[in-house]
Amino acid sequence: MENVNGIINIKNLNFSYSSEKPVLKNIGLDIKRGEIFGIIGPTGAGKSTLLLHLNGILKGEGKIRVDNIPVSGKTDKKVREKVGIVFQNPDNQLFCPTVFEDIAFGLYNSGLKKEEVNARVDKILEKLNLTALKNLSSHHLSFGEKKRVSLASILVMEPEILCFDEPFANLDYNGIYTIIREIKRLAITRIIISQDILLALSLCDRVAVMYRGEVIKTASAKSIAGDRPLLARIGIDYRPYLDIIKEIIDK
Amino acid sequence: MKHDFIDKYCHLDSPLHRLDPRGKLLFCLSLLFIFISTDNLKLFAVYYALLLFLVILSRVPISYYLKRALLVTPFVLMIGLFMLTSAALSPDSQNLTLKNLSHPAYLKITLIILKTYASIIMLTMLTSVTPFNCLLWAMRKFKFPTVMTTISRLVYTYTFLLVDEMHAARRAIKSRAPVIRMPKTKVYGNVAASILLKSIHRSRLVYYAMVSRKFSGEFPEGEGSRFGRADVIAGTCFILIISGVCFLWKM
Repeated sequence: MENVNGIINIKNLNFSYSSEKPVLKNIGLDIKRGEIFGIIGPTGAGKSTLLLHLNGILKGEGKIRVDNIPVSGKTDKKVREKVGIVFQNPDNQLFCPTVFEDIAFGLYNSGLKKEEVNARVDKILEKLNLTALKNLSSHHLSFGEKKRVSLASILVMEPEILCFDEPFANLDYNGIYTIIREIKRLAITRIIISQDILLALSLCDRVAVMYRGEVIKTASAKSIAGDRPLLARIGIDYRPYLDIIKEIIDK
Repeated sequence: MKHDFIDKYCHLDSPLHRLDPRGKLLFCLSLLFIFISTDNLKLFAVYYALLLFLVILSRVPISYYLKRALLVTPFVLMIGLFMLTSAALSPDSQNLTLKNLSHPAYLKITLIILKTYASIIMLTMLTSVTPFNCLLWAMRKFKFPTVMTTISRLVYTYTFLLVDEMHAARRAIKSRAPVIRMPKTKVYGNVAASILLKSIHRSRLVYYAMVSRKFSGEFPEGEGSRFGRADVIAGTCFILIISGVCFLWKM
């Protein structure tokens, strides 16, 4: 078996939804165990599509290994035990009548017994301070609460790699702070996809920059933050925000 | 956004709310069967008295039941009109006058109206005194087909989202056109098409979220409840009621 140092190793990944326009072009990434890895880029860069390849939901041409397991139809179950995805819109992730059932969904599908499912759900609800919502319907929650329930529904499965698709989208500052705190607290490999460059750079150890389906640079967050021409070229320069803030403070 | 149009009153506390969902489902289905099979007009007086008793017992406002019953009124009127027309076209239509209310066609129409409203009240009551997840659990316990419970669960969940989409579309129309000058059919046709396309996109995302948590085509059973003393008493009353109805039927 080919041995790879990183927990996720992607080589020459190509994918397209239709035959005409490729969405992912020759992607190569090596993500280390335990790090917070960011994937940043403008809208339509292919970030979310890449994320869906990590636990075998989409399958393109090329090689993906998760903890030395090659991602293929035969290994889907093992790979999905290792990789959890928190989707951008919690309304797409929460589909059960109650918060409890939503969180228990993955555990029941893993074949766990009722007692263990109950214990694990209660534990995660307590950990994320969601116990009061246990028997509520997820449609009755605020967006921030839904986001936390989505996170709980994945964390309860105890994945080794946790992927967040735009975790800060549509959240207020308090919600963003809560999610950042939760992400930092986890001692597993975390992959964050975000258009919010400042938050991604502040949170991640290393960052890959994607543009038009390609990874154009992978480096430390500090190095990416310093490469202003690159960020400006692909339209995600954060400096204008800093200028605005500076202007307001100066006034 | 908060919606309460399906299980608005299911979290009240009444003797009916406290009963086991299996018993309630069985009672409701049996009564529906009895309503549908009854052709004796006088028996409906007994049924409606029973329904009134149950409505009071449920502590759900009577106006709520009336509003729900109002929803089916156009369909009832349409069926009544259709039956009246077909009776008027039949060979013995000469007796069909407003003075001759004992004509079999009038009797049939009256029976249909009574059966429909009794069934609607019964079903409204069931969904108002039983949280939807408990109802699904009861259906699973009674070995309803998996495809039926799965579809019910998804329909329940996504009705909320569909209503959200419809509200958003209505807001978008109102914000740009307080008075619609275009043909309304075209505007609402466009809205319907856009909601359909969004639904298709959303259903794909939801499927991804399910698959990423090892969904294999069947929803887990979830938590249920246990039979208590109240259920035994209710069960006894139920058997007595059914026996009473059978006795009246034979009279």
